[in-house]
Amino acid sequence: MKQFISLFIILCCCFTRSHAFAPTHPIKVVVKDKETGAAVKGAQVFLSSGKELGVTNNKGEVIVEGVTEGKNYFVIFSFEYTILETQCDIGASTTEIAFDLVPYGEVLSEVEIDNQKKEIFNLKRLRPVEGTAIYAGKKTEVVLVDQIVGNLAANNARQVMAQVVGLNIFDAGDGGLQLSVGGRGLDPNRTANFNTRQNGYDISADVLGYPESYYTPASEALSEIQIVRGAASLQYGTQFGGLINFKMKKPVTHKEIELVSRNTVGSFGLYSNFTSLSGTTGKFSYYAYYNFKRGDGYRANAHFDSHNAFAHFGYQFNKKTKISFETTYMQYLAKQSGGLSDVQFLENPKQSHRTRNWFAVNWNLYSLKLEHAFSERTDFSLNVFGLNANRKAIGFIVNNNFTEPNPFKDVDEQDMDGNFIHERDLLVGEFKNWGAEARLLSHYDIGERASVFLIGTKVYNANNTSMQGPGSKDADADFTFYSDRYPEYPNQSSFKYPNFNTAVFGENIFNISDRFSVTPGVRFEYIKTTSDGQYFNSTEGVFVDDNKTLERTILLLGIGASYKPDNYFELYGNVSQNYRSVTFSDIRVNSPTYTVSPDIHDEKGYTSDIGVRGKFGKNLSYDASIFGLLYQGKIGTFYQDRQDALLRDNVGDAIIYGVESLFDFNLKNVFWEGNKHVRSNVFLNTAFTNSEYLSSEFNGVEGKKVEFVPLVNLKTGLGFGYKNLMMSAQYTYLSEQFTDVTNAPYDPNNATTVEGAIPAYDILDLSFSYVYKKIKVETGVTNVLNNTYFTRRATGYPGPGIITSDPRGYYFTFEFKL
Amino acid sequence: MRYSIYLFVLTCFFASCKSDSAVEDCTNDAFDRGALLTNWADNIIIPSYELYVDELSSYKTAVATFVATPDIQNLEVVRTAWITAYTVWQNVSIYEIGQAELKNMRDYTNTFPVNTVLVESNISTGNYDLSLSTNLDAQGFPAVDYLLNGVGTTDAEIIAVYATNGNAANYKTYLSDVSERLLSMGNEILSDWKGSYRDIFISNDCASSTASLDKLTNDMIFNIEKVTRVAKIGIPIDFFGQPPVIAPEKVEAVYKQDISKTLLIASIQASQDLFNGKHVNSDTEGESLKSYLDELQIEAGGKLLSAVINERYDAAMTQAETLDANFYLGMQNDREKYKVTRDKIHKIIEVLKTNMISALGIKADYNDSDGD
Repeated sequence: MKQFISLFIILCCCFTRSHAFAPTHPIKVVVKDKETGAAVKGAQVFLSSGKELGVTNNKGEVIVEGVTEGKNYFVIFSFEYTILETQCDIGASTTEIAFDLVPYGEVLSEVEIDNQKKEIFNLKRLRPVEGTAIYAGKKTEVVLVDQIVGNLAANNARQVMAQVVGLNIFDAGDGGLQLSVGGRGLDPNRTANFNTRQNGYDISADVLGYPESYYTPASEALSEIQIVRGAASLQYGTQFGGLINFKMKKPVTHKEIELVSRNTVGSFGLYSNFTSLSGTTGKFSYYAYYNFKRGDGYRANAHFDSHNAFAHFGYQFNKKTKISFETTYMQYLAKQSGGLSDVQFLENPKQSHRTRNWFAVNWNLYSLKLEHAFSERTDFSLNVFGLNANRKAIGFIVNNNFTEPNPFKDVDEQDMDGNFIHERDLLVGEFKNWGAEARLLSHYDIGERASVFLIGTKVYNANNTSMQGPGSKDADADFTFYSDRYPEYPNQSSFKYPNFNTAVFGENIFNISDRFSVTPGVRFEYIKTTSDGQYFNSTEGVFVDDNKTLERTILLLGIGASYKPDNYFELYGNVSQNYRSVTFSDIRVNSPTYTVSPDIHDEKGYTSDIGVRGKFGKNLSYDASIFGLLYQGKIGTFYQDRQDALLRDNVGDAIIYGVESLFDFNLKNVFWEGNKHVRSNVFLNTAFTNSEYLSSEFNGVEGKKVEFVPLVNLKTGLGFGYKNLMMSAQYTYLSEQFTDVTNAPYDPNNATTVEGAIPAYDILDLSFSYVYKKIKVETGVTNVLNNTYFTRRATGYPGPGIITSDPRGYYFTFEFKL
Repeated sequence: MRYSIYLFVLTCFFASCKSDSAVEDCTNDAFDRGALLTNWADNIIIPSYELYVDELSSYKTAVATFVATPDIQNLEVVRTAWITAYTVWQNVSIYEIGQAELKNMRDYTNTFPVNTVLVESNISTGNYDLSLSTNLDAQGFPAVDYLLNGVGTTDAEIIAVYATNGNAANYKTYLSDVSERLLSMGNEILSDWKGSYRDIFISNDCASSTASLDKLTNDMIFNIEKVTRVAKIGIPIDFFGQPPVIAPEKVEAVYKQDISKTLLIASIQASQDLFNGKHVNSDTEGESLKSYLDELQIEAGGKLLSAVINERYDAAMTQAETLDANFYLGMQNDREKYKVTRDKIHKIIEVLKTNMISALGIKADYNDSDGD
């Protein structure tokens, strides 16, 4: 902890000095065509820090404010003109600056287009205010998906999210059907510790009661992935991880119809087709895609088929009002090879001992969004969304004939005629929920200072069910319960989970001075979590009712601050409360030996970031911060001697803290200055994280490290482009991480338990792309070093056990655009 | 300049973290867990398996003699050998770790009550695979109990089953198969201990859920709870029943009947001996949970915790001694006496499961998973 505080002090000291330039008076920027001298309308004027200053009017003019005196790098961008990046000295007497843009003489190469975007958006972050959301003082990250050279068809999160700091990613080798990312010591499984959204609305099974993501949008359809860390709790989900928002591509504005079709083949039987249509006609715009994917997986007994479709329709009534409707469909069936013990993994990571385990998901999302500007200064949005989904899992997991069933030692037995002996375990979850979120954002003045005020409300109603029982003894993907045939099956339960949640939240940006702003926020929640149902007591042979309701109100507070002396440097900090709502599986029991404490409550805590971000000179962009996360009241189960029973309650507190940083260096300007055909950058993304259990009801846990916290999490990469050829090399390294609270070390002789550390691993990926007219080809090698590794010890599906990650693999994508 | 400061900070952070990295400091205290594991392996576990395999070999020989010449004399010899091996098994039952755990040795050796319908059906068809879990309750010591003591009401009837019954050959085969399987499992696990597993077991001397000490301590608690307390007494007397419906047919060795007490006492004694680190072949005590607790000077109620634990073992043993040797009849006459014994055993478990494992920083390893 002391390290943490002293670090904070050092960091603050070394970054706060030497930025004392005053912002100037308004300046008129005039943009003209260099050849004709005509005014250029609609040119965007940026500072190279990424700050947008304004867009030129019919006269090619725009009045910009907030530019500091001294040297400034301006970036002027307009379609049909070469991007202009230039340095200007702004003095006290400067009132007007003029820029001349050079029109394109030819079609731009990929590198040139990319350079343009790169120069504008290098290390893009969310602006303090976007639409009806406030991000001031928060740690935000934006992944520009179309700039990624990597295996998009396989949703390779390691490549897609390489520049997101400190992410711990499960490399599942399942074609990216399920995204599992975590960070800062939070379990990556199904991204449950993030509030996961698509275009701003929830996509997980149940935001509070079952926050797991079974659906992941196709990377090929994404424009951005936005990430807001813990401080997102006030405006979005309350999760410790923060927000992940997948932003789909927007309809193209200059065409009525644009078709993009991509076909990918890859190692391990991967085939994917992605076809999208996009366009705008008058006030109506649309974007739709269909994505089919299949693969055989690296291991035996693995296979998947997936269908995913999405459509967005927008109608712009007028400048002030827009309505859009979106619908998403996803359906997949996967055969799962199960998990391995350490001994089995070392013996042969490809082996599988489960031949009849299947997993199916059906996901349907709907969203209707209304955006309206009441005035120049007041924006409103209303989003009504719904989910109708299910997931089904059938498989042989353990042999219940044994006193201590164990997935690693239990063989899926067949009788002498080759018929399977055991009925399979079947789990079916149905998710039906709807919600509405309204936000109103208004700019107003306090005295001379501009302020921004946001208020919002959310209503969320879920009606989910889960059933567990005996499935068939066969090997096919039959998701039918055979409870009549096998009434004695021990793991039977049937629950309903009605859940109601309503929240009101508000934030306000107070500009204390031109450089310093403070953004306090508050969120008030009412949650009613109900679990209604029964489970089978197999020793007594009877069903036992188990009904529970947990009703509570929660007040969350947070504050963010930003000190931005100029456009190239910002010091930001925030602290906010978070909680992880009690989930359904926390409050229901499935065995007579368990009881749930009447005092069980949500897991609560705080997250805090203090960091600096900006740009040094022309070439280095950075975002570096320290964070602390205090986690109170982790839920667990322990033994009580008085009742001779297991009690589930809040059992422990933990702290997680670290340093996260991302540096992006533009090599082009160093080695190929002025060569418009070249693009080159190198990035270094590192997180050093430490953690400790401060207290625990469990023996031998206090003082231990938190699970899923590698000390070093490093991703670094080199990008290079010449004309239409682009390539990238990316190296990932994670040090050893524990997977259980007792910090069981890695043990190559462990043949019986799922616990154990995940050894350090490193992965090298190489990717290339080449564009020729309307055609683009992408190819690459993943895991070039052909390392045998794993990132996950699954406690349930798709294991239990070690889930082997893919060895060296290849992919090839062919895209054409019409 | 700023880069260098930043780098410096990172380096400091990295260095400061590295010193308390997990692997170097893998236990919670200064006690030498390796010495304890060595004592357990060399002086208790391996000698127990050796003794067990020896007794099973003698028993197997007796079975061969009996099968060749089914008469009353040979029947008595094979019964005696079976009782001796069954009693030694009560020791071995605790060590469900390594290959024993992987092979589900305890379940295949001593699942009772025996399913006599299944045994008879296996015998009559002659078509069975004893390695399948569906045959758990048709093999092991309980199946032998039935085959040697339960296939007829008198010794003459029993001998007739093997001598003159039309299906005698199948009975002989089944008895031999079941006995052979007991011996081969014992042999397999003994040779694993004598081969690579001893060193693997001893070198896994950290403190975590997968460490040898944590695992075997949990196994020891599991055995005294689920095997000794629940299976031998709790289930037959229907401890939780409201009102209880006594099930004497579920006692251990229900066909021989008069050895249930012997087996219970052997089971409690084995647990206490492991706790105290007492060598199998002598009264010497080595490093153990007891010496571990004593070194940490753990006390309870003004006494050493190890003394409290031993008192509770002794109290349970004294109470068990008062029971009728024949549980089948005994519990029908006086259920209360059995209930008191069960409670005394529970008193041991209570202090092992709370005070002891908490003092030693051992996490109880019950399953806290909901299947997903």
